Amino acid sequence: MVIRFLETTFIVLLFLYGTTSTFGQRSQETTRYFAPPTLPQNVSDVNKILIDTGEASTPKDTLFQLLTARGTPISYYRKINTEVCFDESCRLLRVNLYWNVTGRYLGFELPPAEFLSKAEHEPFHEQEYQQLHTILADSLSPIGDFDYQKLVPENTTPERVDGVTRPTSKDVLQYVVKGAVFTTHTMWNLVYGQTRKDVEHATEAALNPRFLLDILKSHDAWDRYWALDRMHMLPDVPPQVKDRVISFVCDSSYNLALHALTVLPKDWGEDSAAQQALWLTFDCVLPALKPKVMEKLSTYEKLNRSILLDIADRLPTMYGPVLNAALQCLRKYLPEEPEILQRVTALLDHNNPYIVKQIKKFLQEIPAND
Amino acid sequence: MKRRSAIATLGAISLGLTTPRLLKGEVLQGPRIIKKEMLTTDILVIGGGTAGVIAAVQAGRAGKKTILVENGSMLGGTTTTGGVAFPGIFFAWGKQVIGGIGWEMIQEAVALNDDKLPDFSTPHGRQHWRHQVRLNGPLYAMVIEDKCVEAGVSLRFYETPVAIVPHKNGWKVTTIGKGTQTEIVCNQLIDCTGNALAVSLAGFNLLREKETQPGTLMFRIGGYSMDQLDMKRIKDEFNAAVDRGDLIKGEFLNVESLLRNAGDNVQHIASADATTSVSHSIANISGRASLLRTLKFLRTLPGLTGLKVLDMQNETAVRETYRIDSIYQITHEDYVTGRVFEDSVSYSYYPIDLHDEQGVIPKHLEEGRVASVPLRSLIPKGSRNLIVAGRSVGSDRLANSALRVQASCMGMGQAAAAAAVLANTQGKTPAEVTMSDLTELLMQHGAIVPGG
Repeated sequence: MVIRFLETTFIVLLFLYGTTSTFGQRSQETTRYFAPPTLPQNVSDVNKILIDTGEASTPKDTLFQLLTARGTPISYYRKINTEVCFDESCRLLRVNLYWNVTGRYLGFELPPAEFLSKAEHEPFHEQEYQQLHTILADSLSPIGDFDYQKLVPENTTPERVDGVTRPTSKDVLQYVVKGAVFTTHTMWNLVYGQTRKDVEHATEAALNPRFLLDILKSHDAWDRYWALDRMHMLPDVPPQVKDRVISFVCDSSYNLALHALTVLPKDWGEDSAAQQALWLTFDCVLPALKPKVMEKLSTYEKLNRSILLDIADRLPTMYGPVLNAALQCLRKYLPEEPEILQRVTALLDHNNPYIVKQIKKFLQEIPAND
Repeated sequence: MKRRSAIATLGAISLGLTTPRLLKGEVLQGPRIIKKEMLTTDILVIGGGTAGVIAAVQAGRAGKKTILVENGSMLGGTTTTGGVAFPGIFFAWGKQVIGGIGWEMIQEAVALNDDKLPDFSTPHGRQHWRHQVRLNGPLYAMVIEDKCVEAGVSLRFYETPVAIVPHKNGWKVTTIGKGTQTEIVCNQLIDCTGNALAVSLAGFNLLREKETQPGTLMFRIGGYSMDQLDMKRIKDEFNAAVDRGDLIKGEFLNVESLLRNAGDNVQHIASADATTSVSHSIANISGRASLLRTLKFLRTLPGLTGLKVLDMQNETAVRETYRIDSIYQITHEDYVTGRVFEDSVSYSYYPIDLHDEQGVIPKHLEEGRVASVPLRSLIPKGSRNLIVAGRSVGSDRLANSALRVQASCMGMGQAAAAAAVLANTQGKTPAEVTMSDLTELLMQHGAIVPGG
């Protein structure tokens, strides 16, 4: 109990350094580099999770889950003790790797008095630690595509690991810390390996609306994607979460806006306020995604009449795929809605013969009202 | 009477002797006569490639009678026939810079193939290909053809212009095709040939470098495992074959890259030129001969004896031929500084990407920089009712090495057509349309206009 208290206190103190921006810190005792976190790191407790690492050296290990006072996860870390080997020579790598709740890389720290070294055991310089941190933060780094054995050119004289007086393959050089190719590769693969999935599973098990909303508020696009993809795990979605998700439709990030539109559940259409909120995005969404907003509205069982009338009023200003999507959105209501039908029919007088042709064809396909 | 009757009988007999006996269902067809036809249209687009398709759809959707003439059998040009089905970059620095009809088609093809778009919010760094959208080429060809038909565009495959002369307030374009000779009278002419062929036929000057960028025949190979290859030996053998002259230096700069990528965009065919049947025939024959030669050689090496060609495009894709002598030439400086002109009609974003005998080392734009295309660079100096879109845009060679990429050509295609549409409606020439009208029309159709 005393040990657990001390451990928690240590972690809390560590995070009191603050992690609101990317920073690195080196002192006599610790070297630590952290990126902005998904959630504020107000650590109150630590939970230990036994994991299968899938790694040969440590098949079983502990994943430390850092928690708030409410017991909500805020980050994770692992104490890595592994060997970096090549050409039958090995060096011990001791480092604590940290992940955000979404599995995104958070940072690394070295145990007290530990340092990373390059060829001939030359310690990393400040900028090399920073470079390593930047590489580890890049989930798409091409380093992930290189096999361990392909990191150095073939048929060169074997030398010591990382020690890497041995030349690094030219293709790899730009993605690694020079002289520390195997350390970079090993750490990157640890960050993006099985542990990341373990982190995600552990967070998923703790999801609740408030927690999900906090992740949706993250500054980081990856975190927001992550949360969007897990909305379906909540039995009920409160209005605050719906508002947040719908606000993404007008985000300047095309991918985020498109993803938000894609994952919006069909049953939100039963919520009049959510319907209205989505329709309002039509004026702020990126032009290329306007048809997608219409298509999503089309999936709703029944649209508010005010929205239908609004769409019909704006038909004369629409062209191409937006007009097509708007017509499809109105289609099923036309037999029962003469007022809207009249506005569609008025487009037969449009000065663009292509649109007139489109409208004629569309009207021919409308089922007659029995 | 008897004599007349006898002559008639003789005639009947002789006809019977020359007429073949027809089997049931057969019809005797006389010698084919070239079908001559005269058509009129508001807008004529020459070239159904990357830019031409977008131009034709824009013109059709704006309500103009539109004809699209394509000398091949399929739309899409470099993207489809050329096999370069990764059409460049539509997003820069986290924002979309090229949208509109081109992006609409890309999106549709991506969705139909269950493909996933790259994450455009993550900077691509020096790996600009991270933001490339990979398309299913044949699927894209079908999507764009469907869009053209839906927009009311009259498609004429297997035709090429042979004469273009001023005609009333526009042009008379003579085309020839399979069994056809057609005179198309149009008000506005859009040259999307990629080689400025129509501009040249209309009597305007072109620009060309002494040495142009090489072309590439796209293909896929298989039948080997990279893990099993002794790459050092393969490289040594390959280089020795080049030194002996068995393989041509520069055609495949990096044998490892050829094998690792299993073909794709790895070959360089010097001086490839798609402008005429003759020059394009040479480019195609050179491309195929290069591949065959290399294939035969590689199959002699350990681990590659089972190497096979899995797929090959029908033609060598071409990077650079002629550019127009336009009202304004976009310079390298304009491009890399991201200059926005008063008459900018679309954006272009790509590294300066000049391929030569040494390969290519893309030069990336500085953060935040996005180049743009002024309307004047699409209009041949001294012309009326004539505009271009695509890689023939008026520009210097370095700027052109980035402007030529497909996404930029799509943006230009839509802009050129919108200018032609307005010129047709307002009885003007494209250079005279106002930017406010042009911006409004383009934005109505989803395009992104600098400063719009």
